[in-house]
Amino acid sequence: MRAKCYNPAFPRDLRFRMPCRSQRVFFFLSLAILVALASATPAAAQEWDAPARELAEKIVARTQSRTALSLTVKNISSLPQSRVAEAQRALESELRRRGVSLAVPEQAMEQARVTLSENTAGYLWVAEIGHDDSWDVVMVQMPLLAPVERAPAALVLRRTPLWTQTDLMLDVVPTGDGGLLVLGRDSVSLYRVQEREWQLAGSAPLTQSHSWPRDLRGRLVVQADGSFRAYLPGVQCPGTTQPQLNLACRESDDPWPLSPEVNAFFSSRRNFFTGAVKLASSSEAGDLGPFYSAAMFAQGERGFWIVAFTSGAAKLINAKGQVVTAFSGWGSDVAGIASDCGSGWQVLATRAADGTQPDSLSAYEIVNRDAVEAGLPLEFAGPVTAMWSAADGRSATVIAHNLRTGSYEAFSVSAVCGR
Amino acid sequence: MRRSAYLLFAAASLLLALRPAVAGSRPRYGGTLRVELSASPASLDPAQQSAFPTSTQEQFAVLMFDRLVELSQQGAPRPGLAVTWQHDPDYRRWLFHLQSGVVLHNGSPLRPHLVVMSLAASNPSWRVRLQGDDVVIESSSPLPNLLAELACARNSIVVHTEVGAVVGTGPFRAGAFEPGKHLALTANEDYWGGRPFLDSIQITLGRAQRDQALDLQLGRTDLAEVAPDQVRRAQQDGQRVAVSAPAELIALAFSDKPSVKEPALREAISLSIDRSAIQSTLLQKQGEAAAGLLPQWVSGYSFLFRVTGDVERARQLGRDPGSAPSLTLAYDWSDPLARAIAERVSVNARDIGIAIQPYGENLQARGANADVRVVRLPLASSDPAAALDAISAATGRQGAMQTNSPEDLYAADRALRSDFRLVPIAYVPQAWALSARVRNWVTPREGGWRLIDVWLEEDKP
Repeated sequence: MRAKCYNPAFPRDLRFRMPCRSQRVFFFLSLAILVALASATPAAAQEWDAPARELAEKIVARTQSRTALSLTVKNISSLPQSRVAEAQRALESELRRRGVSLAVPEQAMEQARVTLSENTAGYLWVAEIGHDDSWDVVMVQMPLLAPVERAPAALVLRRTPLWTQTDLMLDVVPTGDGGLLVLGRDSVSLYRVQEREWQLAGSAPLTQSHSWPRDLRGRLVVQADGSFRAYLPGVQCPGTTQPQLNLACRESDDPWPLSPEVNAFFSSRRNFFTGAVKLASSSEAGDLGPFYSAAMFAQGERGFWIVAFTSGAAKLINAKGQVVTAFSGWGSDVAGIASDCGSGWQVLATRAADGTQPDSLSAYEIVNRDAVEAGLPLEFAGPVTAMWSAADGRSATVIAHNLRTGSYEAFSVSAVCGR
Repeated sequence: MRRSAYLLFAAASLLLALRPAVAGSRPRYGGTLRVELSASPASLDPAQQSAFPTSTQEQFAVLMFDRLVELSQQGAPRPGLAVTWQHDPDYRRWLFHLQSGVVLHNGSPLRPHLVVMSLAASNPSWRVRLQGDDVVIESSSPLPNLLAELACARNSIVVHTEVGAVVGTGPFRAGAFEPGKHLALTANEDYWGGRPFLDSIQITLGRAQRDQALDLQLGRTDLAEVAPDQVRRAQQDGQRVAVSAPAELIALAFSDKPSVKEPALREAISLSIDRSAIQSTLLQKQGEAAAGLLPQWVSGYSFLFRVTGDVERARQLGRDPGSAPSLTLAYDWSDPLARAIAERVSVNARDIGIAIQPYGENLQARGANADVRVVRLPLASSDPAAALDAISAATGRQGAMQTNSPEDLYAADRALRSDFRLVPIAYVPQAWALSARVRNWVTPREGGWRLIDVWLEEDKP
């Protein structure tokens, strides 16, 4: 039942070095034209081959004569008009291949009225074949086409696909030895690259005595020694990936790590941190009030937190624990990342929407107590359901629920500059 | 980052001083959702449906009961009370493995035999039995669309207790219920799918839509129905309106009375109806004129059916005065749209020489003396075969769809209408006006609601 896909493994440091700017411009322009040409013609048209062949066969089977058939194609589906011509060409080609001679309606013996329709299963090609009051109807079903990704113009945020699956996904982390750990609702799964493809290397069930909260959250943290720990509401599962995946869950109200130095207690029956926080290395503790997420960042010698509270407020807090300011328009998930851009720290924040709408991720720099948006927001095909800073601090793992496909898609998001 | 930065938490109490600035995106727990409905069902038991199921009964069912399988927004089956399933090659025998640890609202565990009893009661043509702790469904004819069937509200798992109450395992448990007046629901803390975000739902029943609109304006309700012909006006008034895809079939259902026994008479009435005019004027261009049993977005082929009237042909069919007596046409007296459509049908029929007298009747007293009725049939599923099966069952026919091929569905759609007992007129959307504090509202394309995921914005002082 489970369908998964992923980005293939490829060398991480794949870079082009060009001697001067003009050559770079020429190179990328040429590349763009080549890519556009490649995607505009044969590959796109191939999608119509199978349904056009099937429909042509059905039409021919119902025509009285193969001479003088008129063909009209109408589109009432969500298919862009630009693609309809491709479909029509494919169908005409398949009909001619079967010896059908196409004619204008006035000279035709029979008509084939084809409608590109749509239903819950995808596109539906409907052909009415006949003349006057005598009509046969044949149909061919085909899946919806994947939308064409538009190339981003100039993004500050870079998104690298990590993993996609149909089941709920809470967190994804690389294991450090080439593996990938995926935390789901019911299990932790380990994937490894074998023969250039990700293969499931093991899966261990999560055990808990109570039902999970509806907006389930969870986090994976890989330790320096290669072991890892899955944090879930009221449950923690330490595990190892060598020699094989092992996991032992236990009921636990121990705090989750917010950063290497700070831990925070998570509600066992809800979707937020209770507000109780403590330093990892001492017994110092405090209470912030319930919050969904917190991002740490540094500005010169000073450290700050931005906390997204359950009340809906996102607030900037300084090292003395004072609220410096509050931000509007932010969502519930924030994460801090380091980069080579601007001040060297950006705060990523979802937007204030709910789970019914496509989300976007914006990068902010804090300038004079104000949050200044750095670059364009990164759009997702659905709500962001999880966001955690990665262990290296330079990226965040973002999981979005694609509203169109229903899949959960994990990305590594980092900030790039000067491009 | 320097360690001193983390001393901030010692002064965390300062944080509580500020008021909320903006809304977040993650669901917030708590609050009571207030809902007003014009319908007034007499029972919460999905098995006690009237001849034609109503949207309200299905909406209540998904709140209080679960099904073995659910359909995702994309129409893909996903586990409900059943976690896994398998079938034999010809789809006559299915085996479902149930979730463990599911608890009924009365605190007792959901035993597999209770699932068997529930499914057997709602599907007499199936053989439902236990195999160990698994549930087996068998049928003499193939059931290729069984998963979509099981996801329909009518296949909710309902347990009847010894004291005659109905209990389920759904996300909300029923509290006080005054038929025709009020229903209170509270969150099921132990729901296997995760406790809902709302603490409770208060539903006022039998409230006229005009009063609902007023209550929404005055902040007395969070959710009010909007009739299809009022959608545009509500949107122009700046209301927050959620509209489904066309999800409810408005049709004429002919009785078995001798006065309408002639198929030619029924066909004549069907041909006399100008569905396009009804859609553009009475429905204010909402929904779609329907001559088939499924909406276009589900079938993909409904555009093939002619929705304009054919008065000449209708006159030919209905010209024998003996076959055209004065007929009675009943509609739900609390449904202004049904009344308007009934009156338009009467006018169209008069044009071909058939007299039809419309009159309002109480929904609860359906099955009364009318020759023909205006009925509303909710789309039972976004799966076309399951939806056709539901309509087939509602019209008293047996036999499940054997395939999901669009050509077979097209043929079945035509066959189901061939006797003109059920005459489609229009498919209308379900529409709701929402208060500003309602979040995470999703309108399923097939109508209904998903209140399990709804949460409420914190009230601002």
